[in-house]
Amino acid sequence: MIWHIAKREIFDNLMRFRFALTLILAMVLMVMNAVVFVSSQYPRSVTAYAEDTHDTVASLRKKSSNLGELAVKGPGNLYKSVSPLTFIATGKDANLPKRVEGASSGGYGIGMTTPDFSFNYSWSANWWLQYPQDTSRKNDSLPNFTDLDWTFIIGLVMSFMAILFTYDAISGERETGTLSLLMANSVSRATVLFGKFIGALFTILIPLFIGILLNLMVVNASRLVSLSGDEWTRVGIIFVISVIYISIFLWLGLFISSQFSNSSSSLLVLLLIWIVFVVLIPNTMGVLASGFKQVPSRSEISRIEKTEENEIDTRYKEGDKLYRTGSPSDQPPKIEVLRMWADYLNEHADAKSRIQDEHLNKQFAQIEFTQQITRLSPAAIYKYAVESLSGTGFARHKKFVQHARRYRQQFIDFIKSEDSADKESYHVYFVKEGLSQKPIAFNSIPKFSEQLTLGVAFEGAVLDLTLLVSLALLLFMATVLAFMRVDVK
Amino acid sequence: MLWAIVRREITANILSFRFLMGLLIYFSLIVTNLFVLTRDYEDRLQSYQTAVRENEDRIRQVTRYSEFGLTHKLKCDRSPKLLSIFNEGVDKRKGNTVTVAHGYVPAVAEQHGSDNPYLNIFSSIDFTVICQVVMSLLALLFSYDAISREKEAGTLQLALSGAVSRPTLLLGKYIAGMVSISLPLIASFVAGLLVIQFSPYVSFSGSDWGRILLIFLVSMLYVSLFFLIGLFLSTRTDRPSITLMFSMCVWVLFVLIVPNLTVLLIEHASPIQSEEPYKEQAGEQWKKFEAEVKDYLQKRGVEYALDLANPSGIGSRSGVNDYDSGETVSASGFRNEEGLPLAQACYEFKENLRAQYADRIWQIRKGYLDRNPNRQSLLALNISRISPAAVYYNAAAILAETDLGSFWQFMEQTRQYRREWVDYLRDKKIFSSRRWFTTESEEPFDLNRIPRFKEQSEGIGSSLQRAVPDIMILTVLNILFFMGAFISFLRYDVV
Repeated sequence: MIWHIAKREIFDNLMRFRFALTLILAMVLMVMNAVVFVSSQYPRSVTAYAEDTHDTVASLRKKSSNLGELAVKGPGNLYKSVSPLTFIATGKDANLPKRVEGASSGGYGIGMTTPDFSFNYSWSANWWLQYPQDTSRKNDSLPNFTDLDWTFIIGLVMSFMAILFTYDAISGERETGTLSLLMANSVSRATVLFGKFIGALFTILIPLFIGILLNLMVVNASRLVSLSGDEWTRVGIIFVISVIYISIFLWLGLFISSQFSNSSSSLLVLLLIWIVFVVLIPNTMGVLASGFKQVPSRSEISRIEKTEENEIDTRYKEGDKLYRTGSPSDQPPKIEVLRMWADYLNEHADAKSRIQDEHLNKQFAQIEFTQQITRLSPAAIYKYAVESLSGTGFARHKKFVQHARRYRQQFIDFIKSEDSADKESYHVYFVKEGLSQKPIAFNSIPKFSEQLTLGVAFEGAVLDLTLLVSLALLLFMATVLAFMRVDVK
Repeated sequence: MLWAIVRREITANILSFRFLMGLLIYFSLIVTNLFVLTRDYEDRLQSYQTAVRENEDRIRQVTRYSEFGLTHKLKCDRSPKLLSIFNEGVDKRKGNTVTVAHGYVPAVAEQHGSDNPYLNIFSSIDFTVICQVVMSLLALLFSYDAISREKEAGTLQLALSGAVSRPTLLLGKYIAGMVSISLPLIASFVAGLLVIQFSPYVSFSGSDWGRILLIFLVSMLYVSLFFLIGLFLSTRTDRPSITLMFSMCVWVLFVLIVPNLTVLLIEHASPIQSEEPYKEQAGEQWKKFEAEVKDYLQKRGVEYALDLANPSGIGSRSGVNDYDSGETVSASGFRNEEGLPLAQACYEFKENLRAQYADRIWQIRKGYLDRNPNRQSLLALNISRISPAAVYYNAAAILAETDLGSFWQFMEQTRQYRREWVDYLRDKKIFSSRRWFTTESEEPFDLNRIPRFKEQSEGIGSSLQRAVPDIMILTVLNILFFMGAFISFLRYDVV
């Protein structure tokens, strides 16, 4: 009986204007998304990534001629790789930094002649991990409301269509009086409800499926992007999530529709709910959250940094302690001079590293807090789930930073182990003169890479997926209960 | 007769469920939003004030003029615009602090760093966007069944069988609809203004009130357009359900899709070229500058200007960064005082030349900006005018002084300030003074007389002038759709 009702609903819907509208919108937007992605977005970002990493490798090769220099100057820029699934969810990646910098900046020199001693040394600071706001977005005056990706097409447009498909499903039949006729037969209310749900779901999935098919065909035909088995699985999971997401709005539509005897009222209420939860909440929370959870400003941070550096400087330069005993560049250097300079330089690098890491963690905490609040909106939940699976967005960026920090340790360990193999080295970490001066085999230097497995991605999406499923179930139960008590006349 | 219809329609509208819901939702949205944005404005105002204070402190720390060249460059801060509470525009996106030096002509602004830059992944919504999205939808919902519903119910025939002419009926429906719709708009405006007034940091000036009034009028124009679109569609069909689908289609297309799509398509079809060649050109110019300076010094038989005075201690920091070049020198303990005037002459030559090169390099950079990001932004702006929603947003942004144009005016002011600064340095012969590189000098050193940056805001008249094209577009569209509705209603089959 369910199928009978569902079939009736589907045939009824197929003839309607809204079906044609959905079909056209889904097809046009999905094809446009794919065309833009394969013809400009993806090739551009892949080329940029390749050029950037090439530069990093070249500078690493240059530095590998001297271990001491490599140890002090650091591995250079670390770039975030580009996910081939960016067309599904851009995750506003263009607004996030594309790199972190593992390099030292600035050269220092001191020359001094006093009656007691004379000192001469020039050096560069030890490297630390910096987080520059270097995004790939080239024009910041263009409005940045949303990108045309699956999360826009499905999250916004299709959810809107889901409402247009269901707002009159029950209230409309009540208006025309056919609902009481239907109920006069030996059909249970639950059956009617399920039939209507399945009918609406199918009619909205047909255009969506066609759209996605066209989209993937264009992406696949371009040969620029070749999706691996792993990525196809991700696409499959994303499709399932999308179905769950759309069914949330279908149940919502049925629920509201069952509460009104007049279909224009149910539409109005649905539209307002939709606007609040899909358009407004995800977009107003950024400002709101920054008020709740304050993060120290950058000028505050640089002030703290400066105070701490001055403190270190005064400690070491008291009574010219740092200069009196000799310079690290003396031949041969004194071990205690090397040790003192290594401590001095390390303290600077550690302080900067610590302050900036903490600041970044605070900024990240603020973003995560904001994301928690936006999870009031199913559209935001859906977006985060899809972003996790496509390897884009903030969660991915955070993982990238974590990988970079792990790599920092790996790099330091590598330097130490290489250095301990050289018998001529003084093994003083880290001042250039205290380390081995020999070249290193370029291939043995650990290179930065991210492990982005499906398992990890799925783990990131579990919370959002659970939320979506429970929301769908909740609305489903509410609708069933509410419909049981509806006066069908 | 007209007023009878207007009265009837208004009563019917106000008593309807959709009016109540619309009012409630719209009202609560606007009030919360204005509350949030006012707090945000307060934060930004505070960080602006801190930035200005810090700049003043930085100026006070200077002991040698050459510090202004690199380590203590002057800064220009852009105050947050009060009406960004209504329309954010590019106010938060484009940065608000600009560095100025004789060796650097400013072209971009940075954030003073109070914000968390990662918050950029969340788009934000202001009063104008809510109006853009919600009010247009409400306007359509008010008008989509104005004619076709009465036809379905059979009352249209009845109404027209009396002494009421068709134009009167249509006009009556339009006036009544606009009155009922403007009620929530006005209510939310008033409540919002009250919320803002409670903030201790905000006080509106006369011209602010003028601007708010203009924004309100533009909003009305925009809402009226969507009402007329609904009315027009309503006269084209017999059944309200079909009109509804059509109007939803129009709404999704013009409010949600077109404004986003144009940006995407522009980025795709007219991309920004790489800045590298321009940076290289600038780099070559800086090399030429260095060569000229070296040449000049070699003719005087020295490698470094201060060697002539043989100082016992010297520190210097110099930096060239793409379009920017500067040097800070400090020296003390001159063992050859006779060499000083020659060293001073060297610095006069060098720093004057640096300022000239900076002007030349600005021309190179301007070439890049005009041909790339600025051209792209203008193109996107013009093409997005296909959608009345974008036209409305832009008009409101101009009136709120948050559009790209007023940002560009600010940048122009900072360049004007740099010229003033360079003139000051030249007039007061600061490049050739001892104070350029040493504190061991009897010359007067008065930091108070250094010109400070003063931001000039645009007059309301010239803002209005810039907004005229957009307002005209909205007006013309209004007239077109009114005529469309009028003509098609004259030929409407009322039975």
